[in-house]
Amino acid sequence: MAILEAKNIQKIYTTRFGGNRVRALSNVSFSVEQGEYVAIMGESGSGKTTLLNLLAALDRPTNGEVLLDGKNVSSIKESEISMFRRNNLGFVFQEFNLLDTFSLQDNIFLPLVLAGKKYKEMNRNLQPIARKLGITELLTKYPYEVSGGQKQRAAVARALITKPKLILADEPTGALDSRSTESLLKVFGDINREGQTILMVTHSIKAASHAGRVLFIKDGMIFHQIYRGGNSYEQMYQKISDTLTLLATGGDYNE
Amino acid sequence: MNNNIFKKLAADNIKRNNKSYIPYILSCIVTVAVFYIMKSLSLNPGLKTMIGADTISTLMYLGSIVVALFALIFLLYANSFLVKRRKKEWGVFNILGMERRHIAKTLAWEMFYVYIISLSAGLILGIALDKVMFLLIIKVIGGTITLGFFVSVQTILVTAVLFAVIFMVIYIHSLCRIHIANPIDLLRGGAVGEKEPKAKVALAVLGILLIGSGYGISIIMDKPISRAVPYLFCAVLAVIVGTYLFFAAGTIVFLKMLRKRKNYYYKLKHFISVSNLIYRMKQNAVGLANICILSTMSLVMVSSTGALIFGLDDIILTQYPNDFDVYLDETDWARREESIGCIRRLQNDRNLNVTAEVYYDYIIIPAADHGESFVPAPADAISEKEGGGNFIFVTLADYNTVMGTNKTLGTNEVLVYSNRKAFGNDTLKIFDREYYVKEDSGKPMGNGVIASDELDSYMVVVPNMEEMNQLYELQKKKLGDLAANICCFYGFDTDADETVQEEFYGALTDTFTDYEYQGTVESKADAKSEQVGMYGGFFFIGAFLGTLFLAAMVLIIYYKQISEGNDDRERFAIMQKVGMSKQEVRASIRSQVQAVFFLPLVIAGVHVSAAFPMISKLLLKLNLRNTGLYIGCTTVSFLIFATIYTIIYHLTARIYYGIVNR
Repeated sequence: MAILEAKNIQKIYTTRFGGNRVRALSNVSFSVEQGEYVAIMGESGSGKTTLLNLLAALDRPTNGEVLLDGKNVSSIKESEISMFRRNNLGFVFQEFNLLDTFSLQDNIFLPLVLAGKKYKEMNRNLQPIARKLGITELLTKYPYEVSGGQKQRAAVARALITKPKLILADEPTGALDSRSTESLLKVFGDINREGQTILMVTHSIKAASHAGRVLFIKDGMIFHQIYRGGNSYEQMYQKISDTLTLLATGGDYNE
Repeated sequence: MNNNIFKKLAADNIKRNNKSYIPYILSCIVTVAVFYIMKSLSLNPGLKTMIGADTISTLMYLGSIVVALFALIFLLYANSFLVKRRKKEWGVFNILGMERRHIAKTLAWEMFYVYIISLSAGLILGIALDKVMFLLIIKVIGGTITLGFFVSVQTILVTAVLFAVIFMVIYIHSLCRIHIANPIDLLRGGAVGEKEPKAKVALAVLGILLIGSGYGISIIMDKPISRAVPYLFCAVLAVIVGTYLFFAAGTIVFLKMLRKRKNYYYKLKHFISVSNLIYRMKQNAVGLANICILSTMSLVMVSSTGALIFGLDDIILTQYPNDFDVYLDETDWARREESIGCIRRLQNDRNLNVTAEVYYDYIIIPAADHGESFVPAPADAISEKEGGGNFIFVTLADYNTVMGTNKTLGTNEVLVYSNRKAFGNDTLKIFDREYYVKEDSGKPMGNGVIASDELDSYMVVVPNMEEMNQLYELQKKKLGDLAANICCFYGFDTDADETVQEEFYGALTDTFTDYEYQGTVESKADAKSEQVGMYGGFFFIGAFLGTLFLAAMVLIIYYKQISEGNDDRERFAIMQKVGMSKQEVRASIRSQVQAVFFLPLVIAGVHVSAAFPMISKLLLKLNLRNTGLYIGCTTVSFLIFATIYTIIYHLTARIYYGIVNR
């Protein structure tokens, strides 16, 4: 069953003064199945971020609809949207977005505190996740005391702790060095194997090569998709790389 | 590089940073204006012709010193915000190839421009307000002289020099801030992850102990005020230092304790507030403590001087029992009669209608309390020891005549009437004599000595003049040259109006000087205008400084809200991304801002209440016995203050929301 469905999404921005209209997404349809690990690739300006904002209910599409678990996201009332996001979605950002005033543990607790959970329950949820992400020792540290990779793992823990239906990751490896990238991708792979649905937006081929399916977006449209099937990471890397070359050199005429 | 480049760059910098520079320049202008007003008031020749002028110009002079010190501290504080916000800009310049000395030059030009702008605008504002203030102070003091428009060149020069010095200090301070940082640090500016402040338990405890001991001294101090002054000074110092420690360390320790209580901390309402407050307190401790101390000072000043002004009639009445009071110290009884005859002649010559007369003999013997008995000693020696007071001996006959009573006394019996607290003993032992106290409560006869002396005074009514004479001989033997004489009090009332009274007072003092009569002449009308002048000056200074502090506070608060708003914006953006709704963000901001905002006000309120016993004792020594009046004045000034404070809060909170929600 599809956990996330995007049906004919269109997003048009109207510039503030002249009334110039900019089409960010022209017609995007796709769906993500329960337990899938999907990467969306595209160049800067291709509409990736717009798409992610629409999926995260941070913005509303001009046309079309986003269904999360069968529920139309656009129909949720403004007053309930924060709660909806908090209960159903987990976010991982490029810039970590951890709060300096909180220790890592408190940062991870934040969504649970917002949901009004008891400390005991929060702590019970935290321990296995922290162990899995290897940050048990770091929980009392503050964001400015740990490395980028460690920060991102704390951010992943924050996303996981609410047991969301879907994790939305926006360039999660964008600010990491190669070793941290490697270990974060391994974490993503692990949690995906445990059944967590992940949707990741990236333009790192390496990050995308770990996904089960890669969607390519260009000029506001889904252009192509690749399934991993039985491919290894290296083969997947090659395929993605080839596709990107095609995209960049105007391969749409050759196909 | 030639100098013009720096000049141009400096001007551009000011224009580009107008958002931070405009409030800064405004604060400079206001400070200059306030200083100018203070200084020029103390020098205004018109003031010299007014009654009580000496007192006021001294007070104004002291006031201008206070303002000068405050200006330095305040402008340094305001500048530190500016430096913090501009670090990044300097970092960019540095990386683009400007050396530090080039930056220093540019900064010097900027400072120069700001100095010129704020000095000229401040002086214009000051001169304009000066006129207004002058009309105001005349109204307060009740003078009738209209003063011309007065521009003091001396004041302008003093102001220019003072602020030049202040700007130099600020410049050097900014340079130090730039010099210690490398370009990377400058570039990152305020964005560097701030370390969590440490909980300094020892300091917090020390702060609370200091505040507590200050309060303790104020509350339990039972020494006469002159001996208590050093203690009270210590108390004030302890409370000031304690307040700083409390804000800097105490609040953080307290918040961290809250954070340890898991079930409290992990609630939406507390979670974000407590953690953010820990950081806010670190940045704001000094600012908040400043606000708190300033508020306390202005509240105490305004309420106590207000109470003095409104209670002035009471004070005058105890100090000056009759419209005219003559204290004759002539040992020669013939000259004594002669001087009183002289006064009576003057009354007739000037057609002064005398409505009542009081006449009695008395002798004042100061004595220290040695437990069993009182030992006579010079008055200034007593104030060094524990207990004691002035004993004013009068005869029963005089007392009955003056008070219209019909009391009787046996041998060795006395009546003791006190001005402040009851005598409290059954017997009074002095020299080798022991008197039985027949009555210990009642009204003493009017005598300015009782009212104005800061020692406790007891009026002792003895059976007859013979007893008085014996006491006189005894104390003469004991004190020798320092012994007091048997004096005579002659007081009279009149229905003439106050100007006539003041004229008569002039004539009377002249007569006394001419004939070289030993004694003191006092006039209620004259004293009243003198004291209205003095207390009016106090009150004016109190109200003026209160207003000034309030203005300073508005600016401090404005800076705080702006700089915090910028810091917090990112934080709240993240929280919204993680799933916090706008309403939750708003509620959380409100509770934090209110906590930061109203804490100083609450502490100031506590300080003022703790100062209450001390101030009311001080006022009692100034013969303001009406404690209710003081409570009223304090309450009213606190309410007015709190109202203004709340209005400021709402105005600046709106700015803050605007920034955070941008």
